[in-house]
This record gives sequence, C-alpha cells and structure tokens, in this order.
Amino acid sequence: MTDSHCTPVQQLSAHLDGELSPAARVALEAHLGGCPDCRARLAALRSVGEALRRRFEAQADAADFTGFTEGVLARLRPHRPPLGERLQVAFSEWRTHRPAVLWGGVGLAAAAVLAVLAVAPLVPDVAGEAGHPSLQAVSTDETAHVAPVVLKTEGGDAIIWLVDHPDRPSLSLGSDASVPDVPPPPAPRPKGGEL
Amino acid sequence: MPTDDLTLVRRARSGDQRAFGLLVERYQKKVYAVALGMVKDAEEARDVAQEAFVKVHRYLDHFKGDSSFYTWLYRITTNTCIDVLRRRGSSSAESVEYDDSVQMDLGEANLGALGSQLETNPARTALRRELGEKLEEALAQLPEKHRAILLLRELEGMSYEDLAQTLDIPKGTVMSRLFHARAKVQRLLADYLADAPSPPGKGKGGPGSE
Repeated sequence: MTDSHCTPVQQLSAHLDGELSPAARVALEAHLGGCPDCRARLAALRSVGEALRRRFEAQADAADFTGFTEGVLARLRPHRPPLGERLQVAFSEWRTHRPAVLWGGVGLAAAAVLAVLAVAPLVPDVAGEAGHPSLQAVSTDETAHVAPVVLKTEGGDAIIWLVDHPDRPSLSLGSDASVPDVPPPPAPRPKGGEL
Repeated sequence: MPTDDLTLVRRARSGDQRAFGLLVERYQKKVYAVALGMVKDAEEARDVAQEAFVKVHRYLDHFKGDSSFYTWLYRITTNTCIDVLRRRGSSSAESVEYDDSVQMDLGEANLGALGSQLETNPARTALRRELGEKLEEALAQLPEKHRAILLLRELEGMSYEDLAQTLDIPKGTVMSRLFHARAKVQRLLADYLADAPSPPGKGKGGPGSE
C-alpha cells in the first residue's frame, strides 16, 4: 500500500460494516475527525452500498409477488391422495357418469391404459352374472400402486383393476369391485436425491 | 402459534405446507433482491428465487438446524444464482482472492470525490439514476463470488459472522473479499466518472475538481 493515504482501505471497509474492534473503531473515528481525505474515501465506499440498495431494493419493493408462493408450491412434488380415497372417488364417478372409459382421475399412465385395451378383448362375458356391481367395501394395500380403469364392454359393465408394479406386472380381473386376492409386493419407494 | 423461523421449518418438515408458505412470504422479497443483483434480468430473478425455495423445501430434511435458517436459505440462493450464471456462460475466470499488496491508489484517487460529488452536484438526481445503471454494469463485471458477497452485505446487511457461515469461508476471507469487491466496483465506476461529461452551465462537476 502506498503511504499517500493514512488509513488502509481495508480498515475503512471493515469500519463501514461495523466490524472493527472497539479500540480500532475509536482510534479511526478520532482520525476521521481530522482527516477530510479519509472521510471522503469512507463516503465513497458508503455510496456504493447506498446505490446498490437504492437500485435493487426499490425494484424488489415494486415487484409483484402475486402468485409467487403458489408458483413455488406448484413446483414441489405433487401431492397424491391416499389410495383408498382415489379408488372411492373413481368408483363414485363411475356410478354417477357411467363413462365408456374413466381415466385421468387417478393418475393413470399411458402404459396402463394400453394394457387395458389389450386385455379387454380377451375377457369373456365377465360381468354376465351380475347386473350392476355394487361396492361393498374397499380394502386396500396402501403400498400398492393401483390404477383402476372402468370399461364398458358389450356384455355389460366390467371393472378391471390394473396393478402397476415395476417388477411384476400383473392384471387381475373381477366382476365386482373387490381388490384382487393376492396383492403384489409393495413397490419400492423412490429415495430422494443427495444434497 | 409462534412463527419464528425454526418453528416454521419444523412444521414445514412435517408436511405443513401453510408453514412453508409463511417462510416463503417472509423471505421472498429479500431473496428476489439478491437474485436480481446476481442475474440482472427480472424474469430470471423471479424464477431463480422460486427455484431457491423449491430447493429449500426439497432439502428441508437435510437442514440440521446448527446454522440459522437465514444463512442456509441464502447459501442456497447464492449457489442457485451462480449455477444459472455458469450455465449462461458468463462466469468469470478471474481469481477471487488477491493478496494485500494490490495497489488501490489510482482508482481511489478518482473516486475520492464521488461522495461529495453526489452531495453537491445540482444534477445529482440524474447522476444518481445514471450511477445506478453504471453500478449494475460494474456489478455484472465482478466475479460471481464478489458480486454475491457485496449483495449479501449491502442488501441484506449480513454480518461478517453470517457471511462466513453463508459462504462457508473464514471470517478473514469475508473481510478481504468484501473489500476487494468494493474496491473493484469503485475502480469500474471511476472509469465511468472519468468519462462522464460535466453538467452543462456549471463550474463544478468532473472528478478531482474541488
């Protein structure tokens, strides 16, 4: 450092931030009292911070944060209601609307839908013995991933449950709405990534 | 219900989205301001700020509570901004730390009058606006780590202690990095001031006068 200035600028910088020791601060303040050059240099340092605050805080104050939190929440992993709830919703929608195909409400993958379409022609008169299946009870394996699809076949209504398991895909068909007899082993839960 | 940071973090960790939303609202403006200083573009700053909160949520389980939530949040914010800048390809290869023998005198001499100039110049409103723009340009020329520490100190008023924790550097490094960032901004502004035309019709104006 040259000696044309009495106070090193590092010290002025630390003083600006209030990070000098009490003794150093007192000494510097005494010096500043008698040194216009150092006062001007300190003022110059201060003006940089003031300009930054004026620039960016003003813009932040003027910014519109409407929808900001919602935007954050929307980017989080989407919340899936529990399985029992999804099945009940699907069934009640079927009861109400009797759509030809019911999908989307329970988050079906395209692959699951294709599997159903492939299977349907193989099923003989499944719903022949009962007129309209009624839901007695829903018992679920909470760890299974089940995507029910309701298709209206020529012979009558049929409810086909698809059990989606990554290792052992299996299809079970039923003429009523009960869950298949042998639930598959639970799919492994995905682990979060490392920080 | 107490709403200090740690309580909200605990509740957010156990799935309380409303508590997490309160944390977002508490810090959104400040995080945005820092992001704006880092990446410059308002749209991108908003996106980066949201992304920072998404990461906070994702890594809530990793937050050990041994640092304050505040410094942890800003660490994530700063790193997210730096990632964006690097992807943009605008990161500077310049070395971040200098040794103490760096000469500051020339820039300082030109800047010595900056403070008083702003006070006494009749055209100071226009000067201030222009200074703000030049400041943004100067900031954009800083290496990201200098930009970050300057913004966190000046916009957030972060203590050296908190800066050390946020940036994961020793306190001594905080002090020198900050001083070098300020000195560099001053040097860049000094160049601007040296070229700035004097306001019309007035005797004052221009660096070094009076």
